[in-house]
Amino acid sequence: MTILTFSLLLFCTGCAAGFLGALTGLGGGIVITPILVLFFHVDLHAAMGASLIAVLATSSGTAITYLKEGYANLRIGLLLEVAAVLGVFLGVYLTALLSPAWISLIFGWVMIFSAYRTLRRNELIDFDKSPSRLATLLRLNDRYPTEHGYQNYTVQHVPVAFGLFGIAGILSGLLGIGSGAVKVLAMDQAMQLPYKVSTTTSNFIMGITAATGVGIYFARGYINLPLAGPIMLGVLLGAFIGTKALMKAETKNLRIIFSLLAFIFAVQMIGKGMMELF
Amino acid sequence: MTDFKWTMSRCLFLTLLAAVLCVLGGEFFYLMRDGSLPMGILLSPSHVSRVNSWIQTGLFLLVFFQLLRVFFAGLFFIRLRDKLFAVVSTFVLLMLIYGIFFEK
Repeated sequence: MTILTFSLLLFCTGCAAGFLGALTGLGGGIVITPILVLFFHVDLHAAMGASLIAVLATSSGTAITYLKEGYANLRIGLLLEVAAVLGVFLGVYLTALLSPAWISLIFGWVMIFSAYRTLRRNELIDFDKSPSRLATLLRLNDRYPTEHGYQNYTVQHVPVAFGLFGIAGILSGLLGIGSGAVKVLAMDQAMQLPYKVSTTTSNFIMGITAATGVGIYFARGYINLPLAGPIMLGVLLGAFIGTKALMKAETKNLRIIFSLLAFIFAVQMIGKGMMELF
Repeated sequence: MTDFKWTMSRCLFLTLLAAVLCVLGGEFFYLMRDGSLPMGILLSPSHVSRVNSWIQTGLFLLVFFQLLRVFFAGLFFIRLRDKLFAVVSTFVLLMLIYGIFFEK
């Protein structure tokens, strides 16, 4: 295969990952690494670097539209990002300590968790629930646009979500992913935010978490520029289309496809890790 | 406030556009020169240094885009006189700068 063909394949892979990432709030990076490692036999660290660039691109491609449309909650995003960026430093530190086999194993289990959470995601929210005192104090309760005008929502369990974002940050630094599954879990289940608000807020802040780790990945030589370039372009295009689709999309079928793909890749990554270990 | 939001989204859009154009241009020149070489070469560390610096500039702009977003969020909260979230934004911005430029 020539570099030109490979670059075109990377571009298409990026496009699909960006589209799915924008629709599910998972960033898309989680499918880039296994595809690069399992199908193109790219070194794990270089694949993680490219995945981190994909997360940056998905987040950037969605940020402007989501903020303009009024879906993303900036206050929630920035507050939780404090925990995430601190977690990234710990995660990146762990990358240097763990062997690629262990990283593959952890990656596989995180993918299985992501697939499970994506399938089990609940879109029904109790809008009449009274907000937590901390959420009211921090003015986190907000509203978002729906077909029938603006809908107010309240925010629950802020400390739990803060802790989960710390874990998301560690995984992001360790695996070069956006950790969207954990972030969405924190916002969906703990904070009980509406689907579109948690998806868009997750996408909005994911790039900031990923950017914290990029400098360190770059300094360690994990970012291969000719690999990252076509992926970035593809992801940006996919994320842009996904953003437009999210406003009207029925995401259930896409989530099933995403979960199935993630599960298959996860089993392969775990298998690869086990083979290298034993 | 609407003007500020408009300026903010315009600035972000232009940064993102510049990043895309840099990577696109860099990829074009790179593929024109090395596109017919076998894929394995792309993955070798010595080959990376031959890559056009435009791709690197584009990726740097993409990272800069994240800094700009947090910076604008901080400005947004300052304009709203929301001291707590202005401090939160500043903290995230400082951590981001530290992670990008100083942590190895």
